[in-house]
Amino acid sequence: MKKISIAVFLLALAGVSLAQETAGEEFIVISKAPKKSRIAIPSFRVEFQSEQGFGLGEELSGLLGRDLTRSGFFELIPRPSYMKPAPAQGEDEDWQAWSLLNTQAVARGELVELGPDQYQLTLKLFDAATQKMAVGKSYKGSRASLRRMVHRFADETIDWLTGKRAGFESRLAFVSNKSGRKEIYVSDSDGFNPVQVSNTRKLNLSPAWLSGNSLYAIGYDRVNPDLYLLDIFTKAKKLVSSQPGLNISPAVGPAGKKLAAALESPGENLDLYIMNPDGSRPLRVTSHPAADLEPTWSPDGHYLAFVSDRSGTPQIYMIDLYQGAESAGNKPVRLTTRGSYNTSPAWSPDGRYLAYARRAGNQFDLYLIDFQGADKRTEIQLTSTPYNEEDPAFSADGRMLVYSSNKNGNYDIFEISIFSKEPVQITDWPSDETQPSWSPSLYEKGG
Amino acid sequence: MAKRILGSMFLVLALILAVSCGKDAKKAIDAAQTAVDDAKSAGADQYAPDEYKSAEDYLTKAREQYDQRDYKPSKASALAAKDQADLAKKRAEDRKAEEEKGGIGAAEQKPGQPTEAYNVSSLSEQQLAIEDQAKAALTDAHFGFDSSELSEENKQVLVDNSKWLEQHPEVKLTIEGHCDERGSTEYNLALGERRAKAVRDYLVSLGIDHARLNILSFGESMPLDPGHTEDAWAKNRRVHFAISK
Repeated sequence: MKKISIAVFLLALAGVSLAQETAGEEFIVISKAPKKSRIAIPSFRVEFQSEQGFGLGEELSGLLGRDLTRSGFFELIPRPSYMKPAPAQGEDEDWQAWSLLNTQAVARGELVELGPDQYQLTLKLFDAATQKMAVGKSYKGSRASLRRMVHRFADETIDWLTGKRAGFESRLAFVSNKSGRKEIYVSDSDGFNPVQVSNTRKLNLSPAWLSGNSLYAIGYDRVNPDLYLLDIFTKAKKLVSSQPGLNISPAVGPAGKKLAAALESPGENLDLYIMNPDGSRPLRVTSHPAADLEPTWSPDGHYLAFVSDRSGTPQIYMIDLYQGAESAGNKPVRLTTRGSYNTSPAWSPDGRYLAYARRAGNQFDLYLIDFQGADKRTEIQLTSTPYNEEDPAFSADGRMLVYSSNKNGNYDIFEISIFSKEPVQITDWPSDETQPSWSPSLYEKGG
Repeated sequence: MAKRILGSMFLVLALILAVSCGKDAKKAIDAAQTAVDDAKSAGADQYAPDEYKSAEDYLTKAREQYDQRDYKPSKASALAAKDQADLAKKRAEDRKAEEEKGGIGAAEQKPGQPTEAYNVSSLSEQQLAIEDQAKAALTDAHFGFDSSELSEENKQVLVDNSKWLEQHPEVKLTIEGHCDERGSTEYNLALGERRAKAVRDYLVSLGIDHARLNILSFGESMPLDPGHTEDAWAKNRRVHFAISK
C-alpha cells in the first residue's frame, strides 16, 4: 500500500515535468541534458492475413523505441518488466500498473494489412500525467513506406514534448569506398536502406544536400575535381562549377538560394565564393594567399564560418557577409584559438552552435562553440576518445550531430545528441564511410 | 669565412646524401641481378622470354643510370628489373609444369592470374613504352604531416626527374598531390594541391616548360598504402608523376 502511494507520488512529479516541457510554444535550448521521460512501448497489435505480420510489427515497434531513445528525450522501459502489456478490447490503459514502473508515457501501435502491399499503421502516445492520448496518427502506404511512418510519428512525438520536430524523417548522405572507389550513398536517416547514387568509378566526395531529393558533390568525372548537382532518384548530374583547379567545399545557404564553395582565384589560390544554385555568377568572398575552404552558413545568412591556414595551421574563422567581401574593413575573425588543426565547421540550424573537429595529439575530437551572446562564446568538448571523430554535421532540428569515426578500425558513421553526448553507431560496413550529412526534414506541412 | 664553413657543410651533406642514395641503388641492383640469375636457372629465357628480356633491359638501364650517378632512377629501374625477373621466373615455372603435364597451354595465362601486371615487351630500352620508362625514372616526392615544403632529398629527386624530362621533351606530366588519411577530406584536397604546386614550381625553376606540367590533387582519397601506421602515412604523403594522355 505504501509502495503504491510512493509510486503515485512519483507519477505526479513525472507528470509535472512532462507538462512543463510541453508548455511553451517556442523551443528553448536546453543547455543541460534534458531529463529523460520513461516510456513503455508494448508489442504492436497486428491484423494480418500472412504470417510475416508479427515480425513486421516487432520491427516497427523496435524502430519507434530506437528513434525515441536516440532523441535523448526518452528512456525505454524494457518489455519483460511490463505487468499488463495489452489492455483488453475497449479497456483503458491500466495506469496503476504502469505507475509501478514509473512510466511517464506509453506508445501503442496497430498494423493492419488492407490489401496487397497496402498497410495502415496507427500510432498513439499516451501521457501518464493526464492519462489521455497526447499524439495519435494513422498512416496508409506500402511496405516500403512503413519505417518512414514510424520516423514521422517519432518526430511528431518530439514536437509534442518540446515544441520542435525531430529530424528522423530525413535522409543521410555519405561517402563510402565500399566499391573500391569513393562513391556517394544515400540512406534513411538511421542508415537503413542504403543506395549508391553516384557510379562514376572515379572519386566522388563531400555531399551537401540542396533538398531532400538533390545534393551537391565533388566529382572527378572530367579528371578535375568539379562540383555537380545530383538528383538522387533520376541520378541526373548537372555540372555546377568547373574552374581550373579545385572546385570543392559545397555549402548550401539559407533556403537553398545560394551556394558557397571554395574555388581557385587567379594565381591559383583557394578562396571562398558565393554563387547561384546553378553555379552562375560566382562572387569572391575571401582574398588571402592562404587557402580558405569548408564554408558553413549561419542560418540567417549573415555569416560564413570557414577554415583557413592563413595563420600557418588550419583554424576556423568567420566573415560578416553583410559587410561584403573580405577587405581592410572586413577582416575575418578567428574563432579557434587552441589546437594546431581545427577543421570541418558546421553551424547548427538555430545558429547557436558551431561544431568542428580538432586534432589533439594524433586524434580528432568533436567540439562545439556555443555563441551565448554578442561577445560571449564558450567551448564544449563533445567527444574524448583514443580514436578519431571527424566530419560533424547537424540534424534538421539541431539536437544531433552525425559524424565519422574509426572506433572500429575502419571509418563508420555515428550520431550523437549534443545534450546527452551519447554516441550511437549508424553504419557498420567493413569499408570506410565518411563525410555524412542529413537532409532537411522530408515532412511538409499539409502534405 | 662563415660562408666557406657553411659551403663545406653543404658539400658534406650532399656527399652523405649521394652516398646513401648510391648505396640503396647498389643494393637494389644486386637484388635485381640475383633475381635475373634465378629466373634464368628456372628457364625463364626459354619459357618466358619476353618477361626475361624486359628484366634484363631494366637491369642494364639501372647499371647505366648508376654509372651516371642517377641513383634514384637507377634504384627505380632495378626494382622494375627485379619485379620483371620474379614474374619471368614464376611464369617459366608454371609453364614448365604445364608442359610436363602434357598440356598445350604453355604460353597461355592461367585463369585468375593477373594479365599483364607488368610490362612484358621485349623491345629495347629506347622502345619501351614511355609510361613504363616514366614509371621507372620518375620518383615520388615525400612530405611531412600538413606540409608542402620540399626537403633537400625531394629537391634531389626532382633534379633527377627534370633530367629525364629534358631527355623526353614530348612527354607531358600530371603531377598528383596526395595526403595521408588524417585530417578533413576537404583540407587534404587543398594540401595535396599545394604539394603538387610546390613540385611543379620547382621543376619549372629547373627549366621545365610550365605547359608540360598539369597539377591534380586527390587529397587523402587515393592512398598508396591502405594501412593506418606511421609507415603507411609517410608513403601516402607524396607527389606522384603520371603521363598525361
